[in-house]
Amino acid sequence: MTIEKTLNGTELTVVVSGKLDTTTAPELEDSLKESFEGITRLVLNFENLSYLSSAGLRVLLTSQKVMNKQGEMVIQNVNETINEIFEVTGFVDVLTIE
Amino acid sequence: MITIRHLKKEYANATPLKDVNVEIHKGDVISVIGPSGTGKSTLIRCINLLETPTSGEIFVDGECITDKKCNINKVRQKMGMVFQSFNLFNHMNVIENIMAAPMDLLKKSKQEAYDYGIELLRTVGLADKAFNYPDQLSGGQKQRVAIVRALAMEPEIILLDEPTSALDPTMVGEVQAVIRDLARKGLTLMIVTHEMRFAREIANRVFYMDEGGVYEDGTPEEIFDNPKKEKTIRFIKHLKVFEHLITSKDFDFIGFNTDLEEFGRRNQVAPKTIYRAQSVFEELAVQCVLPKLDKDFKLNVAFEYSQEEETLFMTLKYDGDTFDVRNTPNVISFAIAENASESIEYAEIDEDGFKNLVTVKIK
Amino acid sequence: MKTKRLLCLLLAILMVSILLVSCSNESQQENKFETFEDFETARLGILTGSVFDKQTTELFPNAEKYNFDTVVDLLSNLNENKIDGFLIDHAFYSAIGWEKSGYCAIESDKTTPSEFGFVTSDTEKGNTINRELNEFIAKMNENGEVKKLADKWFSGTKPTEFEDYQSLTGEKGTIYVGMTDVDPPWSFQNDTGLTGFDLEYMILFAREYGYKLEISTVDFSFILGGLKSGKYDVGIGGITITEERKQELNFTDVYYQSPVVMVTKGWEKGASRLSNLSGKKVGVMTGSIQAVMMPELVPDAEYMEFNSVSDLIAALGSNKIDAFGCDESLYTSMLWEGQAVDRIDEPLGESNYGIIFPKGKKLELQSELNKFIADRTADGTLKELEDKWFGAKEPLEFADYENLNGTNGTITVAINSASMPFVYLKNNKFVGFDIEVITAFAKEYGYNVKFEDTAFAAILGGVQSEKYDLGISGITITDERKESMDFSDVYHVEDLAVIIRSEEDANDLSQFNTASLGVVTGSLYGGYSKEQFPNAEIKEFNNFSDVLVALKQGKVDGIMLDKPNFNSVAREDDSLSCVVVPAYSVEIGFGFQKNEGGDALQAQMNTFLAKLDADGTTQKLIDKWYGETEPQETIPLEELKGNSKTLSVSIDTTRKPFVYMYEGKPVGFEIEVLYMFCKEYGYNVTISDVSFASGLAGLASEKYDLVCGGLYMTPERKESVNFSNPYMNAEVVMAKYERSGFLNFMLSLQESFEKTFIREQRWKLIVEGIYTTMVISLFSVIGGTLLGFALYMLSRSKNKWLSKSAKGVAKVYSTIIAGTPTLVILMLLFYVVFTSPDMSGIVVAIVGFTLIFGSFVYDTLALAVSGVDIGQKEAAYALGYSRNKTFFRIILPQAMKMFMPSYSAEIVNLVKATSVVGYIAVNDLTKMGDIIRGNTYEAFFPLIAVALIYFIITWLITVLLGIVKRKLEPKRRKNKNILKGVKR
Repeated sequence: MTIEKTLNGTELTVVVSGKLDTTTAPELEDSLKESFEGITRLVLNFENLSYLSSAGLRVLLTSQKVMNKQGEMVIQNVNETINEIFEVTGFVDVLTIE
Repeated sequence: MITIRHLKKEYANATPLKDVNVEIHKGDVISVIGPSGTGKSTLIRCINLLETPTSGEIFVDGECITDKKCNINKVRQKMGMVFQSFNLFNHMNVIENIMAAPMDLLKKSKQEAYDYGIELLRTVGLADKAFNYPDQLSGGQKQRVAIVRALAMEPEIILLDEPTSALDPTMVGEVQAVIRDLARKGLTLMIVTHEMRFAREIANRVFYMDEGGVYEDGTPEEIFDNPKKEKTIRFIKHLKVFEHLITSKDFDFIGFNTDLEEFGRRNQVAPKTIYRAQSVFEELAVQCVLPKLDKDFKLNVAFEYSQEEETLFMTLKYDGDTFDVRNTPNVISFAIAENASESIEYAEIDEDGFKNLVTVKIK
Repeated sequence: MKTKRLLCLLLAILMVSILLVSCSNESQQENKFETFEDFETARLGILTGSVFDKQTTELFPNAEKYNFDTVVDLLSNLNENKIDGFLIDHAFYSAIGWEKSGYCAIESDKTTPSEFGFVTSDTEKGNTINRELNEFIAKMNENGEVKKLADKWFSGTKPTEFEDYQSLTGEKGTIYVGMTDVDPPWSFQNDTGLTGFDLEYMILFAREYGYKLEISTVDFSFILGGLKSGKYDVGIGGITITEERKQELNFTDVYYQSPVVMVTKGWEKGASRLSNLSGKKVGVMTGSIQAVMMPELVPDAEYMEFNSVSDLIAALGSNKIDAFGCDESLYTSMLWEGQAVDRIDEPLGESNYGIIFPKGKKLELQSELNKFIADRTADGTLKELEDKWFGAKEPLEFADYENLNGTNGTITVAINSASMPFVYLKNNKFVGFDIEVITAFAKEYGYNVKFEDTAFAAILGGVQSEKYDLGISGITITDERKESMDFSDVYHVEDLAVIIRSEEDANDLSQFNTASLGVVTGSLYGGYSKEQFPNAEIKEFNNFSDVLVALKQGKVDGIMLDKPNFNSVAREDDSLSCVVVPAYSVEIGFGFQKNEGGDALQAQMNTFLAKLDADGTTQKLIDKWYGETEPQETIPLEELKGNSKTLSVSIDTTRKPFVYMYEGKPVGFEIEVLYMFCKEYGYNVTISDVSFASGLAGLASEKYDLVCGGLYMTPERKESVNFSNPYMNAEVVMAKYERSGFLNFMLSLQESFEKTFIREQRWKLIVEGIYTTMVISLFSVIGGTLLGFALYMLSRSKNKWLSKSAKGVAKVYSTIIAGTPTLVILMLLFYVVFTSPDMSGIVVAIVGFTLIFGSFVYDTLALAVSGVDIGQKEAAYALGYSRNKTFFRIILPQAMKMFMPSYSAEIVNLVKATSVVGYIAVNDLTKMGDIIRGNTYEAFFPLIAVALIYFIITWLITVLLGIVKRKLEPKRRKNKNILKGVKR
């Protein structure tokens, strides 16, 4: 999995590519943790994300919680399979998906 | 007629037969099937002692042939063998091949041997090739002559070691016809074969060889239509299996996934199915079951794929307390898993130390 | 048919190999350049810019000319046969001979000699010196001093003492001399300093006239420049005086004139000198005294060692060596066999011969033998034997060593029967000087003798290992040999001889010395031939035509006859040539009755002959009838219409060209003279055509008045016949026939065949050799096959211990056999394992080859069996065949397919391999070939014959084995045979 962060003022765009599973989720968590400071808008680009498991979902949840205090978090370019996961888990209501 | 007890055959780097116990009755037509390397040929070659058993006993008509004192040559004269590579005697013509043993060993007269031989040849339709040499015959013809050669000794049982494996598909039929004929006549036959349809059709008993012995033994209907044991099923169903035993929480997850992908690709599983299998495995096995297990645990993961039905099953077997994964508090994971499966079933078992069995049919 | 093709192939190989042999023989005959005329169309080298350029072109307008810059180039090109010769002055040529040999100079009066002069500068001093030099030159010529100097410098050997110009004290002054230092023999640098003919001449001059000499060595062009500029007073260096040079330079008078000669390759005529061998290849026999002596005599020759005399001779014949060292006796025996060799007759040294014994053993025998030698030397018996065996002719009686009836036991004597004349085979018995010595010794001391014929090297080895009591075969005593064996006292001494190929002079009568000559029975030439060539073989024939035919067919080498007869015969056949026999000449005349009538007729004839002589008619007639072409006319005898009496004349029409038949009528010199005589004196003639012998008889009985027929006027005849004066004194010549190359070759082939097989029934030796070879081969094959099979069966045994040890033994055994050369195995067995002298070589050979073959059979059988598919064994077992039954009934028959080809091939190899048994004293086919070679000095034919016989033997074996193989082929069996006794 690769993480590409682009900071634009107070907007942070994070492109997550590859698989987000039990082994890679901690990496994303750590990466996001260190960037939260001063961010008002967090954009997660899932264009190149091929796999998402519950471990990934948990990271998204914690991030959402944080951003809710500072601003907003948006998830973009989700593919069908991952969208399905958001739906069956009910996360579709929790996350802002564009 | 033939009793085999605790037959073991060990080689330097493999033990194809660990403990075989079977009875062969007069008139039996036994098909011996199974994956490669499971000792099928070894078994029948032990019966006529072409292979020497490492231990165990074989009784033929009450006589213990594995005994040192036994005159094995005389015993072999009662058994005929047909080989995959025919093994006709190249320096003799067809009729000589057939006459040789009866004359040399049974002390039959030339005339007797000839008459009987020619008659047998006629029954297989090769009387006109009596004076040809083996290298002038086709594979199918050679094998038919080989069968006649075995018959000429009027054996009590004929052992056939993959008789059609070396044949052109066009010639398989003619040889099978001859064997069928023998079975119909009531001869005792034991055939090692890969031809499942033929094996089913001709036999009254089927031995499925696996795990160093006769893994399952039954009628053709039982074995082919209703296999009971796991491996038999897998074999019959031509199941492709990917199995892994996990004993540590730090197991190589990434490696496992790569292997699983490879397995899927190799067996032409649909990519989406592979994805879902990975997802199911991660959610159920890693997220749900694994945290629940003690320090010393056994978790067996098996994926079975049937190319015919294009269905992929995942089975999880784990020890520890009985825990129905469907009751897992990890609803997120379970939801994802459920989404990716057609069915998730749980059963309590007591098998090899495993207490729990989860069977998932992957979408 | 395959056999036909094979036979044709055989024949082709035979022809090709013989052609190759004859070609190599032919190559010996290089184009001989012997006279000036021979160079007419040759390739001549020219020293660019020299005076010889013009001379060569003038003398040899049709020759091919090649220019070279230096004499060194000329010589090297001559050496490499790129040119055939070059002109140079004799003085220079003589200097070439200092360093190199193998050249000779051909002189001719057609060449213009080179004149040499000194050059002086055009100054006052120079002119003075010029004058003085001329004075001196005149003096030198007069008092013969110049000749002495020329002898010193131009005789072909480098002088050993040189004048030192620096020792001149000259008070008159110093002459500055410019000279080249690279022009021997005129002026050159020696290791002692500057020297040369010219320099010495100048030194003598300077000494006489009181000068000192200051020498500058420079290039020739610088000399001329230096003279011009006055730097030098005199220029020397073999400067030839030419018209062009005279224009520019001041020459003295000619101080030396040197004839110009043609230098070409060859030995010096008539001078077979040892020094000629420098740089040549010389052969010696390994370990002999000659091998030690020759390098001391000619240190700068290239030496090659050979194992036997026949090898030396073959090497000489095939140009591998130019000469070889051996003993005089060998040279003699070579002459017995008619070999074309010559000997360098200069005193070269002696070799001592001794009999060898094992070192420190057989001491009693040694002392007996020494006493024998001493006694027989003292009483001259030994010398008698030497005279008998080392003479000009081969002896005819031989010692009988088989019926000695000795009572003191038997001595085994090792000999080598290719050592003529010491030991050799004649009619399958050993003969020779050494045989006689030993036989005489044995007789005297009561021994029986057993001779063991073996290779020369094996004699030495065998005696050393005490296999034999003593050894003898012309063995020379050398210090090295003395270290490992004992020698008897010297029993024979010989001069060392160096043998070279004979240089036959085509015009030399000596070529007939040992030839076979044809004579007409009872003719004059019978006696003359025997007289002139006492060592030749005389064959008699009935008449002249027969003897002529014999000459053309090569049955005789030469016939003696008168020149006119020769000319008439040679007219029709270019291949005839003759050599004059100066010792004889024959007078020819007409015969008349020895009575009054005859006298009168004789007187008339004499007058008539005198008249013919005077007016030159005789000569004209001689030219007509005895010339190159045969006259195409008849003599009109029938036109004679004499009115005087009729003469009854007998003519012998076989006496061409004196009298013979042409177009049915008698013609010839004598017939024409007769015709003219009759016309003159008005006689008629009645001719009777009878032999001259009958004619002469008819004279006595007065049947004939005149006998014509080229009668020789011998003293015996003169007693009963009145001869006219001789009308001709004819030369006597030896006629020989140059056969065409192919015919020659076929004849020499025939001769070789005869010598190799027929003479002395040598074919019996060949048969014996074949028999021995076959016996060894057969028993070895059988033994080896049994051994190999047995060992293999053991290795298959159920008994683990037996099979393992059999396999182990087989492996060790195979490794040893494979790693040791066949000959070494045989020698080990013969000399080390089976040392008993009773163990015959044949038995050892059979043992050896059985072991070798057995190892092969084992390996091949194992391989063949392992090549049979394992399925065959399994099928057999499955049917109930026992292990052994399976092997013999199923496996072995199929293994034979792979086994037989190797087996047959190896049998053939075995037969060929047996050819080395000669080394362990077995006379097999090869050894017999060697023996014949040694006895006949035939280098090639015996070898080719033996090779052919081997080929035939192995071919037959292959055919035989092929038949066996085909019979064994299972598919060839007839169905009815397979199913014998079965009703279908």
